[in-house]
Amino acid sequence: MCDKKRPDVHQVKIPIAFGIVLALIGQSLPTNGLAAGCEGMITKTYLGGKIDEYLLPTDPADTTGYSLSYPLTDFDSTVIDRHMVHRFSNLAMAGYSIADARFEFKAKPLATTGPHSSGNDTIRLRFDFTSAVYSAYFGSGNSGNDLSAVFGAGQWGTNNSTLTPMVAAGGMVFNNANLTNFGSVASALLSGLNTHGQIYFYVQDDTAVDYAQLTLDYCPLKKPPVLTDGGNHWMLTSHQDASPAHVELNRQDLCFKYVTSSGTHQVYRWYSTVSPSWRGWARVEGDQVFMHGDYALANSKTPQHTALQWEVASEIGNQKQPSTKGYGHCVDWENNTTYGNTNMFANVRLERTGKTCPEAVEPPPANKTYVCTPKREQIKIDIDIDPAPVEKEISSISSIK
Amino acid sequence: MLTTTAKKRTLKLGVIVLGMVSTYGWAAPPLPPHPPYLDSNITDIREGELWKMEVFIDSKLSHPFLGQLETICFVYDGLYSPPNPSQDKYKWCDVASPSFGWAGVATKEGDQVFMHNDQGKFYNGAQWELTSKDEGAGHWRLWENNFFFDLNVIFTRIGKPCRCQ
Repeated sequence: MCDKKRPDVHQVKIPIAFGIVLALIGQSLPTNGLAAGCEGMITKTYLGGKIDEYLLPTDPADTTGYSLSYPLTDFDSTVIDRHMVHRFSNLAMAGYSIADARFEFKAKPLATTGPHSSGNDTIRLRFDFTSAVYSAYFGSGNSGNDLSAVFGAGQWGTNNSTLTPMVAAGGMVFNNANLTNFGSVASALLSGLNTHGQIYFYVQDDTAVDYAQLTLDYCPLKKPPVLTDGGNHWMLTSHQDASPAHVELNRQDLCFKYVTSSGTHQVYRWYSTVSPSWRGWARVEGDQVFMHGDYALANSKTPQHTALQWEVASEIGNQKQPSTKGYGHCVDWENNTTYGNTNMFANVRLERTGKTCPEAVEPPPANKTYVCTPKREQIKIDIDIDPAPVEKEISSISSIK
Repeated sequence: MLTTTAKKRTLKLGVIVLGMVSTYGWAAPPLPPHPPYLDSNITDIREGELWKMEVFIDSKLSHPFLGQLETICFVYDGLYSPPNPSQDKYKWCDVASPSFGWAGVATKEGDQVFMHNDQGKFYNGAQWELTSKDEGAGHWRLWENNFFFDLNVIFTRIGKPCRCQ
């Protein structure tokens, strides 16, 4: 198993000199639905700017595509009346979906007095320019979702007031855990990240930003369990492959139980209720199904074996429309001391019935018959068949007309 | 010196031995025609047999059903390709759209069927296999210069007589 351990969720970068105990703030971290991680998870971090305490020269921001009539600025800029925009882009990863997001940035207020104030500045996350997925005010200069609870009332200032210890402290780090009401937008944020593959980070215009960082957890896209979603009971019809008429041989049921995934495979156990000792393992890759199993035969001490290889051809059903059809091959054989005895090479057709299987019988009783083959007599016919059956059939075609 | 009767006997034995060798002494390739046939009456190369074709989008997660045609006609067209053929040849067409010209060639080896055509909007290539005498499944790809589309396909014999133009 390559189960990658999920990294620490918080990853909060707080200067020691300005250590704020986030736990005291009482804002729970949004789980975004997959806090437990997933098998095969990949974590990527996207950093805008540098974590350098506003060190000049400024670090470039990506404003591609952003539409704003006000003057824009870069990371670290301490010029007032400049809007900070940065685009996190190329976030999509083929074959994966974004399962969790952790957002973090460091900012400080700039304006202390006069017509400009940091206290009514806004921070927004947005996918487009009609609405923001998240919006908050740094101070109490505007009513609404403000962050003053994070750093204390008056710390970011209000309109035309004198500021603030926050300036001297170099601002603070904001993240999932302390951004007010951030948890309520978690699902919209994840959905938008998966849809758009990019997001704009925007801070108004009298607040400086040192850096902004987005950490994303990617989970492999999973197909629903093909063999059990919509009922785990299937009927198998076997046809003699060597027969010119592909005559029908047998009908058995198959039951699948999803066990786990392994890389690109879905792993199932399977068993039959008609032939209860017939059971084994199945793997699904894409729409291909690979199976092997064994069975015991009454009055025989020799173990019997089965291998099936087939492919789902029709629409894959669900609870409403369970029918699903697949086609392929089955071979039955038994051990001997040399090459093994072939019981049958069969073509198989499988169709989901939509029913739910009873649990497998334990311990499994021996079968009364073979599985892909109906009975011993026909097996003998198959084994003893003339080595040139096609020629025989050709000679008798005229009788078919 | 052999008598005439002995010569005849020897010749007869030789023919028998030769016959045995040719039948059993050599690994006989799977010779066409290959039953089960797509067109049950392979002696009539004008009249064929009707099949239903159900198609599903292979590249979509749930393989959604795209539609079905109950108008696919296979007409046996001899062996492919002489002088040492290994396959059967069929003409196939959609009898519902003869003017559209959706028709092509199919070959069959064992229970594997290979189809192509290029008379419609796209090029078409299919590969499928008979599971029973009357039903089979496989893949269908259609494409043009910068486009392709993958389908799963199930063929089911309807059995009614049909003709391709």
